Amino acid sequence: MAEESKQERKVCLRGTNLTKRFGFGRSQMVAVDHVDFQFYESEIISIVGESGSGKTTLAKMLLGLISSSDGDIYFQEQKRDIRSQKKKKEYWKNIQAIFQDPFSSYNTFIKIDEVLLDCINMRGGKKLPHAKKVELMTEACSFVNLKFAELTNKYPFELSGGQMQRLMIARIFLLKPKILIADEPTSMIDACSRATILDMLLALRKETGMTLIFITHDIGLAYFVSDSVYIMERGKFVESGTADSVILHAKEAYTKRLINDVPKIHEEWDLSTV
Amino acid sequence: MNNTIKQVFRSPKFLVGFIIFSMILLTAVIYPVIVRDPPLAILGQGTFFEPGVYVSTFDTFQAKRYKLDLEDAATKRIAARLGPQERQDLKAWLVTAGVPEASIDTSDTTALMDLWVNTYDPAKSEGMTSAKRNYYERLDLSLKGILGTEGVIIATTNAETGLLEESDSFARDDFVNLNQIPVVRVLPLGTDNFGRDMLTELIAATRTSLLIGFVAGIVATSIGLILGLMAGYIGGIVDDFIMFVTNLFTVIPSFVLLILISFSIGQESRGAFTIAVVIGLTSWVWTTRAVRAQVFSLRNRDHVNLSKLSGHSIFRIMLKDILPYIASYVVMALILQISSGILAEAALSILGLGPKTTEVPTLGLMMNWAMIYSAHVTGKWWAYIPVLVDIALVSFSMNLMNTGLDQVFNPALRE
Amino acid sequence: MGYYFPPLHYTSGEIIIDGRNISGMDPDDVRKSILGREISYIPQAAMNALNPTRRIIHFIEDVMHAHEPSMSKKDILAMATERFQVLGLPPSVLQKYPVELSGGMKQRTVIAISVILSPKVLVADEPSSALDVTSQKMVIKMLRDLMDKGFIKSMIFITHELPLLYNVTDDIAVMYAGQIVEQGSAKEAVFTPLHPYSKGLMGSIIVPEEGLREAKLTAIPGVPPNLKKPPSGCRFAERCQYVTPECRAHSIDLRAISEGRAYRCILSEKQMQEAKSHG
Repeated sequence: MAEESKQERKVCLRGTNLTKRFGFGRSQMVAVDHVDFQFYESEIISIVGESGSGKTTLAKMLLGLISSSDGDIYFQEQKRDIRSQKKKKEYWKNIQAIFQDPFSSYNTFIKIDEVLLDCINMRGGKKLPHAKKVELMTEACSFVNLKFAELTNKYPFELSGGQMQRLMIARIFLLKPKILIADEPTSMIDACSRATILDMLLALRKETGMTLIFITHDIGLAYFVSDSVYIMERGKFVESGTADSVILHAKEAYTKRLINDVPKIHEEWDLSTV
Repeated sequence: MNNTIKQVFRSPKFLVGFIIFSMILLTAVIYPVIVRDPPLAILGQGTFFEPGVYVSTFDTFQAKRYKLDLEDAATKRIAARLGPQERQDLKAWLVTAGVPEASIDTSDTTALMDLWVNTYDPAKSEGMTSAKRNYYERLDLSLKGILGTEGVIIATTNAETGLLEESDSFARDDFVNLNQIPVVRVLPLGTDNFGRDMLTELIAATRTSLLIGFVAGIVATSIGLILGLMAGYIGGIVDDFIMFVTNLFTVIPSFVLLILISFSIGQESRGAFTIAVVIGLTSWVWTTRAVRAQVFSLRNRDHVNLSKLSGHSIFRIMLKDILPYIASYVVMALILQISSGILAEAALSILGLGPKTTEVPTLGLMMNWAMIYSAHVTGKWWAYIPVLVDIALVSFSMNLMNTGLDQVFNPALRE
Repeated sequence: MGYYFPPLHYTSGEIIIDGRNISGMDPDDVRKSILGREISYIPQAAMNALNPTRRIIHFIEDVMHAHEPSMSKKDILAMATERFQVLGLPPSVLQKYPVELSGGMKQRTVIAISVILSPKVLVADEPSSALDVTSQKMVIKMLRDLMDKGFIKSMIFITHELPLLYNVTDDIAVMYAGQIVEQGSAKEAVFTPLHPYSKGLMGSIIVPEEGLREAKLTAIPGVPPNLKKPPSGCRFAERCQYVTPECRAHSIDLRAISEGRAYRCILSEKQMQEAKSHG
């Protein structure tokens, strides 16, 4: 998309000098190294990097699950303040996540109903009549092609990986956050379900206008879904821009290598470059 | 959940442990309902009565008599009189009197008696010390007494004349029916040094010891669980502080601490419950460390992150997202704590630092009494062997259950 | 692999490796003479198979002791060093502990160990799914090297990543609900799929190539059937867009249409290709 239209849109999440260090002294490791970014409202962003590039650490900082060592995060141009549990809860109404491994994302001991009810409660629907709650949950489930009547009173482990990940999306449907961070949402599930999951995420974004941040190592996926792509190497953004400019006209050697490493179908896959 | 329980009961180790433990527990619960004697009632006027059936001698006089013609009655009486030592003595005399050693069979009572009666002559005891000679004469006399046929006369003092008058007599073939004797006391494990019924006391002691173990286990596991959860989940300064305290307690041997605390409480205020709490207060350390390590590996799991994102409080996350995942582990720790609590009480009581002795017996106290009255030196095995077996069975069954649970919950140990 | 642990039980059929039927063999014989020599297996998370307290060379010593008891430690080290060099792994890895290696390096090390006896067949079950693209490529390169340099004669590659499969294999067999639904060369299977399920699979490929952003991904609705009670008719019928009543009536056989090409559907080849053009 053109630069000028970007100017008009509101910045949803902004980071300046964001840094995360682990450990002390000699064993200190900089996982995220002074990164700057601007994510706009309703934009689809991909953060691409190898394992160990710090992309998951960055995602956790954005989510407020871990604190940053340095730098600031601005949410809707306000400096983010999550110092108390109450403020955190308020922030998490706006930002939510889907994790990589659906099998470990759920508490095995909690029924599906409770997972969904939690979302309704978080949106302030605690006092709604039970029928209304069921209606909301049914709607959310049907959005992701699941039948609430079949899920009620079941435990998450009774579902397949693809179904669990869809239930995750149903959760987001109920919460309607401003930002969704999807950390490798499709890497643990099979190819067919992957298309379904992506379709649903994109449909949900269309409906709610939320900002969607993909964290992935699959540059193909990044190219397919996103407006903007950030390439991350050892805690730093080495290249960023629109999906077309970054992936079809990569400038950095690292980006080129990432693209090269993905197996292709219509082009020759060059194995000699490893 | 149901599935897990089924799985647990399919483990043979757990099942065996569970059966032994339930049997002990059931006995401890049911026995006092049937036998209502107070466990510390003193029955015996003397120490360490052997296990057996005690029949009132007075009642046997009063009971109806029956004549039974038993051929081997005499032999049995002799056999009871002739212990292994006496038989060896008889043989020794016979050999010195010139009977060939090969022809003496000490195990054949009738043959030995025949040989003795035919050969014995006090005159042949020459060359022996007079004590030895007298011993053989007495032995001979008592054997002859058994071999005789006359009965026993019971005499009572005539109140007017002050003379003894025959009031009753027993023949050797007189019998009474045990069922017709009103006062019979079975003491399957004899009595202890105070003359208390060992079995009743042992079962009461098992109950107290299990209670002590249970209270100690609950106290230790609760402290360990709460501290471990806080240290592992909250981390930071809380973790540092809890680990500092935990390390302090790790360095001081908990048993020494236990001894010091018990001693300073003083004999009078040491009840079974106090001791249990003290044991619990000194043995939470490793539960804390273990729980903390488990929580550490759980707190960064995605389901915990998701729970945080759902706005749940720390307390709720610990309770619903972490605790269920370590519940099996905590149950295992609890079982071990109970078993080690029982052992700790036994160890304390042996040192004389156990609960005060006037209220309830405990397994440790029973060991302590047996030791003070030198039961182990004088061969009164019934005063301590049953207690030992009881302690061993309780801790064995609990450890077996624990191993069984471990195999079910720890995939690395599954066969 | 002719080797069954409960809850896996052998019911019927045969596994023949190089003319030798290994199904029903004594498990001990299978372990001694088949596993490692004839056939070897790399599971998905093979890198987690390494005991963290032992050096890499010790695993190789274990394997060699079981199969070649006469070999000395020195010879094993020399052999392993040479093999690692040929496969592009630094020999220093041999003296390291598993924790010192990265995920990709561990996976390649496990592969190198599992083919140390040069088995005829290697079964690779999602060997690169847990890795990022760069490590994945290194693993694939190594597997290709193993084939090119003759350490293994054939490889069975199990994955759901089609682009990967396309670049690695000669032939592809598509499995659905416990049955092979389509067989063919890699090219045929990817570009002209004949079974509706394969079509769905091929339609969900994502590769960073020009034109991808305009493409529409095909999603197959529904879930695979419960194999405890498989459907009596075609197992894909519930999710198929071309389903007819006939499909559910009886089970469908695998139809061979040419050498090495077969599919399991009642629609004809022509019907399927037409369906593709407007599907």
